[in-house]
Amino acid sequence: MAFLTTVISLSSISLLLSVLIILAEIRLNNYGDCTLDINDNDRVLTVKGGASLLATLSEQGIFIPSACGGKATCGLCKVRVIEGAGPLLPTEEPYLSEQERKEGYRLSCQVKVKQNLKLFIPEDLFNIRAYQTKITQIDQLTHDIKGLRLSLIEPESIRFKAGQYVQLYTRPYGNVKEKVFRAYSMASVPSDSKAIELIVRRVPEGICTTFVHEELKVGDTVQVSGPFGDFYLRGNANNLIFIAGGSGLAPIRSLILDIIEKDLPYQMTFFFGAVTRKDLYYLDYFEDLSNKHSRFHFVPALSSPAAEDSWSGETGLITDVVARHLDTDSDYEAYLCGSPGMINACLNVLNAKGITEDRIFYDKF
Amino acid sequence: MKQTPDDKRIEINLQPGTLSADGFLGNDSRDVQSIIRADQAVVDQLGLTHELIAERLKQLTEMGKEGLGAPVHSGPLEITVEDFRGRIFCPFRDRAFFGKRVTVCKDQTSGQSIRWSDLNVHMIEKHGFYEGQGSPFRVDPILVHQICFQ
Repeated sequence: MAFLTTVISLSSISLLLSVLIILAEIRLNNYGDCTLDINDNDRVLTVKGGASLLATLSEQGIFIPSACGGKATCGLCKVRVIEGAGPLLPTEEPYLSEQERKEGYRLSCQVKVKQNLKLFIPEDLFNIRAYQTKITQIDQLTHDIKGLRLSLIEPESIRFKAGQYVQLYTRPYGNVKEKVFRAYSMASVPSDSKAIELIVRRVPEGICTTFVHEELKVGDTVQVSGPFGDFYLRGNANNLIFIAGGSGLAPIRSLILDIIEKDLPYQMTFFFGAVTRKDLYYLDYFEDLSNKHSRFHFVPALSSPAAEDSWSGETGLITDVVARHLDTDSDYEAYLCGSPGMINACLNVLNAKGITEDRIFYDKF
Repeated sequence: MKQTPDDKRIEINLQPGTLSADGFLGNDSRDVQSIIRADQAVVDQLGLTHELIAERLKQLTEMGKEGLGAPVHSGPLEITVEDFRGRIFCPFRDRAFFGKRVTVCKDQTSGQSIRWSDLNVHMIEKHGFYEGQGSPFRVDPILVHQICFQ
């Protein structure tokens, strides 16, 4: 009897403790309604607490740039929070300079909305919108690169600067249980405002690129948000140099097409580097463009052409090819998009040719 | 032994679809600690350490980077390093993250090849984790020894 009483007592205590823990969790994780005071009372939003600031703002139709989907790996989602963000987290530290910390900048993906917040968001971010789109074309551009054309459904058109990017949202598939998003530059020209084109290279084991390469079909609807980014034309020199590798061609294509379409008076040279012929794409497209427009020159280059490539164009590392083509006394501005290794190597070459850092713009993977 | 919340999160991170499409465990039915212990035994038997292996892999990646995507040759080895868009977190929640760089090292004499990411090198060095059997990015210590330590 005493044993039974002990068992019942212990079970009751366990049950009571479990209930208390559940109630405490509900209480502690329920932050209720919180107020977001944006830009000194310019916009005051009442939101449900508990989610990240990035996600909360997104729910409100305010899209902060992010390339990693809120995992604190890209450092793009910086927002100035004056009050209510709590202490700086170690995950944010690598992305924030001393000055930014002093000014209250935080990674919005790491700040949880637990209380009322006061924050500042640049006005141009309010122009960023979510778009429902329909895939109207998928092209296999190389063995691991696909080109997508997405027609805009709602809203029906987009305004962006050539060189900017959008975020593409996946839907759950296979083992991927959550929607993720990743950043891709638009390859299309801004005047083609009812659609956008993206170029997506397959990343080994990549969640979003596997979705694009294996799941996405013509006719599917997908969400994108944008436009984002400050990789766009400055145009402070007479000669523009463009250098790209792999899917880095996307924003460069948009920039070149936009300049040609607007008949801007720049001399342009586009260096497109790849390893072998199978890694090159849009070759005929850019050669045709170069034949039609005397101010545009196209220099595709292979660093290690295969015997079967029958390649008669430029060969060597893209850095060597660029160095061979550039004078040291010309008035250049350079736009680069590609791997960190390629960009770092090209920066050295461009600096050696006398192009100063303030005239070099790049979009590093 | 009971799992801590952190252990549970690490286990989730290693599963397919969390940080990478196919995850880090492949078709291995063992738990992470068993995989690590088994590889530790193999590494000991080879007379190597995780640090030595990581150091060698880093050295080969550095060599390969010179090719900007094209193969670089060092003795019988052909090393190709490719950078892909994006970054990836270490699943062990140590706040480390890496660019998606993949190094492929081929022994041109035997025809054997092995690939690793910068994240692999970190996981070997800091966590003694070579990924589970059948995982797309498993870095088999025996294969590393055969190819990279000639």
